[in-house]
Amino acid sequence: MKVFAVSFLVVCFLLTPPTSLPASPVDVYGYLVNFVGLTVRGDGPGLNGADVGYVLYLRLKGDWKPHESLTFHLEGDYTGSLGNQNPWALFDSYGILPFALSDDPTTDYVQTLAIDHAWARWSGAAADFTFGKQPLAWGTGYVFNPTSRASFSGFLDTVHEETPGTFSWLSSISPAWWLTFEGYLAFQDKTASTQVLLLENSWQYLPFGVRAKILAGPVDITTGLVRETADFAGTGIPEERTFVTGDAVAAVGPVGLYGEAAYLLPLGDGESDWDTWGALDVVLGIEWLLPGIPVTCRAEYYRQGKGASEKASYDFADLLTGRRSVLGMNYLFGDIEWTFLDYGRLNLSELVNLNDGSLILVPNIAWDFLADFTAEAGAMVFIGEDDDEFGGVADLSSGPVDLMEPSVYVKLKISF
Amino acid sequence: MKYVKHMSFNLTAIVLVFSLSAVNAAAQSAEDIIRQVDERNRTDTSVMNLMMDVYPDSRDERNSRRFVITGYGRGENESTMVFSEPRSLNGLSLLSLGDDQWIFFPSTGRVRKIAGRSKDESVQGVGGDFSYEDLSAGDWLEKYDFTVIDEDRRTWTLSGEPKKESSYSRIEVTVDQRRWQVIRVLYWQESAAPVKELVMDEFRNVGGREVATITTMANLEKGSKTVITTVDAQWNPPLDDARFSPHRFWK
Repeated sequence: MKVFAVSFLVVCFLLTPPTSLPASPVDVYGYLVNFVGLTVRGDGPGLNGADVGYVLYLRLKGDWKPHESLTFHLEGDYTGSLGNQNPWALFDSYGILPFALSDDPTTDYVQTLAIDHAWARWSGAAADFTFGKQPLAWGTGYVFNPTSRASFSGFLDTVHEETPGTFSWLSSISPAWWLTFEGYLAFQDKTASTQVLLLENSWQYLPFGVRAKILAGPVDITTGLVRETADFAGTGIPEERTFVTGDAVAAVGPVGLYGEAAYLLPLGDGESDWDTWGALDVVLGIEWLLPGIPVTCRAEYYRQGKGASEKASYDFADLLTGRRSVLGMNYLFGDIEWTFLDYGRLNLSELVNLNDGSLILVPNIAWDFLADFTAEAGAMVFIGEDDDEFGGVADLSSGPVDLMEPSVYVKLKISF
Repeated sequence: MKYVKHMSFNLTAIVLVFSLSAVNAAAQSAEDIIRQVDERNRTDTSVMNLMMDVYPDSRDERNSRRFVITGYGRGENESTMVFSEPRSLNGLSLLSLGDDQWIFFPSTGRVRKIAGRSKDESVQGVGGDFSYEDLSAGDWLEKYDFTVIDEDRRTWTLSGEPKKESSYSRIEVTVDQRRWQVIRVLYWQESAAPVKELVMDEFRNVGGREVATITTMANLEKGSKTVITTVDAQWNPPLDDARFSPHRFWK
């Protein structure tokens, strides 16, 4: 171990470029979000059955470069959530909390304060190493990322922007300009579960990812191997699955094309219900910029190999535990963004379940009053039959619950 | 008669020779002028700290958006822009290698290769009135064929026709004779009147080189303008290859 550490330090010294800039001051920045959401329940006509929720979200970030080759980064957040934006209150209303909130009056279920990212990076001429709690965000898809297996990204989350941090090591080395090898070793499962059992941290369950990134003319290609561990059941014993991954992206004039795929290998927990086509998750996307007018269009197809092709197979518990972000097998996402009057943006997004035909519509309008002050208003509308995914009455352990009620929201964001 | 014809021929020949000489002298002068300008501005690498103020209405100085950028340049086709303001973009990095571009989003930790805009469109919406073509590096002489169309005690004015595909049909460049620097450019797009005007002003010694510290691009059709202020710069500093690598430019 000592020999390895000394060797590593010598290599770092040799690879560090000779010039160095003076240490930079600490750069502190971040943003504050105020979010108010109104959900129209079916309990009464008009707004009689509506309930409201509120979120105050503060994200504070800091950077420090004591040396040209060293970077420290810290991100913490404070969340205050009330009403239908408070997950505890929401799950309590669904009747699926295993305990009553009033049983523990000393616990603050409204506010949380956390360090989400805290990492240090050494960067050399051809290699770098980052350790700490950092975002591990792989893949080129905009909405779905089958190759990103280290953490959850928010789905239909209009408040949070960042990829959650994962305790991990991450390193890359570039033996040639067109070739880079990158790998990570994580020390917590995908769910970042709050339970800590020694069994969970057995080396056999440690998530990892390795990949080769290649620049091949107009196309960027990546191929790799990823192991995901996730304690979806909350038992302290994670499920472990290994995937072969790949993605590619190309830009042809004003058109961007991308694809991402993850293929489950019949190893570990992936072996039990493995089948050839069910093992494949694929994303194919296109982005095009309409010439001469400030409009961007995007379309993304997602195939979830283990998704349900029949409504009868929908298990909404998979959504609530985080095992899946969507339940079905085939989806089409579309988005049009129009920039108007220099500071305005009008956005219409939709997500269609191609198996049952149900869809989510998300219209949104935003205005930049100042460079660092943006106001948004939007809505989330679910269209489908009751037994459709986006219809969507879920049959939970407590009984049928409508998880897909329409909502409107207002969001204010100040950056500093 | 034979003598008169002979004299006429000689006179014509002399006029032709002098005319050609004059044309040759003017053409060479235009090339020499632009070559001198290019040589004064040529760098292998550069690091520049810039402020860019975008005015949607050039008459309304109160309505503007400011971007603070550190720009790293290498050769003619490689550049990285790192944004520090507005704070909502702090840490956003844009790598350009020829026609290819990548963006690093610090909030998600993702790098995306992005579709190219046409050359006459604003750089990812934050370039203001500067298009990709306006900001592209490269010598004037490589991009245009020039002829001198006017001259006074202080300046030359040259007309330029693009040598390769361009969003402009022609340009007019005004060069300061003392500084050997471009101080004004007018741009045409198959139109009777110019569509854009670039003015270089407040020349100062920055990093050991005399440069225009205020560069204003006015869109004469839209009535908008963008002002780039060079705060400081380093010329020909050593820059890591990683700074221009699509795999590592943000690290």
